[in-house]
Amino acid sequence: MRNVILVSILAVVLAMGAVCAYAGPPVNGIYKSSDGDFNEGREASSWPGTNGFLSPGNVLHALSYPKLGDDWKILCPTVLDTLLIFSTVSAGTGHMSYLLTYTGGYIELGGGGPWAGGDLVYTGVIDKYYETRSMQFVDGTMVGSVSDHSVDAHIVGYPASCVVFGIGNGVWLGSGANPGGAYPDYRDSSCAAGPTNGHWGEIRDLTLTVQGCEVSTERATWGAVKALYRD
Amino acid sequence: MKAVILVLLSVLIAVPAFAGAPVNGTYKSTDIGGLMDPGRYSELWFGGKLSVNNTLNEQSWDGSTLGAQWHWYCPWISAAPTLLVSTVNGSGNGQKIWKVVYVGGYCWLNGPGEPWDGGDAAYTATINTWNAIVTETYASFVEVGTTRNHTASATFVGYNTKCMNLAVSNIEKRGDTNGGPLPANYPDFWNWIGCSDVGTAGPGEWGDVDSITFTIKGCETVSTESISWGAVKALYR
Repeated sequence: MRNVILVSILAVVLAMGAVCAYAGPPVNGIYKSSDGDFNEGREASSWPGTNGFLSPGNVLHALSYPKLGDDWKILCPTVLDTLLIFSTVSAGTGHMSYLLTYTGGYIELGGGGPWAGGDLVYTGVIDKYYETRSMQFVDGTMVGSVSDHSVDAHIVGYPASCVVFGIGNGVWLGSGANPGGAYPDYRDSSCAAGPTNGHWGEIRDLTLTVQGCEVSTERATWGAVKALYRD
Repeated sequence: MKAVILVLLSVLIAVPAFAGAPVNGTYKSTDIGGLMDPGRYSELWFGGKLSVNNTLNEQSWDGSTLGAQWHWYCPWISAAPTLLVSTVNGSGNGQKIWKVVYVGGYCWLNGPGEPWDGGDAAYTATINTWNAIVTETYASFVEVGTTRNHTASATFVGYNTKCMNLAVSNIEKRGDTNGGPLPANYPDFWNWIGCSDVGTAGPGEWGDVDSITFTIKGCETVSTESISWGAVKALYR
């Protein structure tokens, strides 16, 4: 009887091991949206409360497109600080560039992407996120703006060496109430929907690198499993 | 003799070099819903990427022809770029963000049929400012991708001093001569020394230009007054 119970427990343990949450790490590599490796995306940055453009506290929400979030998601890094890099604006006309430092947030890589290793989705904790934002002003009105995004993250459930990092171009397309539909919604600092004001645009020309990812579940022989239960 | 001079003067007045200033307005590239062509760029290297004297050449690309609509050429890096941020770790992975200042260079715009068409066959402008914010991503100490923001301003030649243009755009690097030759349908390399086309050999890099917002501001056409033959003769009585 004791052996039957032991075998049953072992069978359950082995079955669970075979269907663990982390089926396989993302595949190391360098992936480019411009090469068609994965989709480009869209962003919506909220301006919570009385915030305006480029304010600390603004929350970024970006999703791959056309099927929103299918390939990747950037979930809720929050602007911590802004730094003016340069300004040529005179009498309301010219250019300004800012460096935005974000804090917090997550990324998700869909399990169907070119990095597919077996998991349904890979979640990464953002370690560093920067955006440089360049704007064109005419008579005091911003008429156009572009940006560069930069992210470093580590993947949850795999060794600390398993990291994702990348860059992309952003372009501002509008501000005010969320355009809805084919754009991500506005999020607050807890990453919940709710803010009603912000700006939106696109994120393109992404280069994503997955590196240092290895299998997290160790293979065990039948002999090794039995050894765990020897008296 | 006096009559000949007067006739020549009349002809010169009747055929001015500048028929009409470019039309003021803000124009967007087609990839963000406008009418302006996006483009492609090359940058000639003097010792490597982000080096002093590296020279830019950007040309519109309509899918078949380079430079049919616009051309920015010969701004060059005037001083060592400033490193703003580096997240590159001991394994050589991460990002670098640079500020790069260019000086010099020119802008050429086609005239007829373009959104800014004011009557001239073409418009030229002298670049006043050109700044780039360059973001690189590194894997194992090797640069594997670069994006940029470019901002530029220029003053048109032949019109009032406030007749200017401004541009902001995105850049994606697509390759460099360390990985192979300049592909077809990318702009030739230009050298700021003499501001001339130096062919395809390089060394240098190339890529795409898009998400352009282009503004023309402050341009006025100084009208050429009609003058009668009698009035011309009266000047010499």
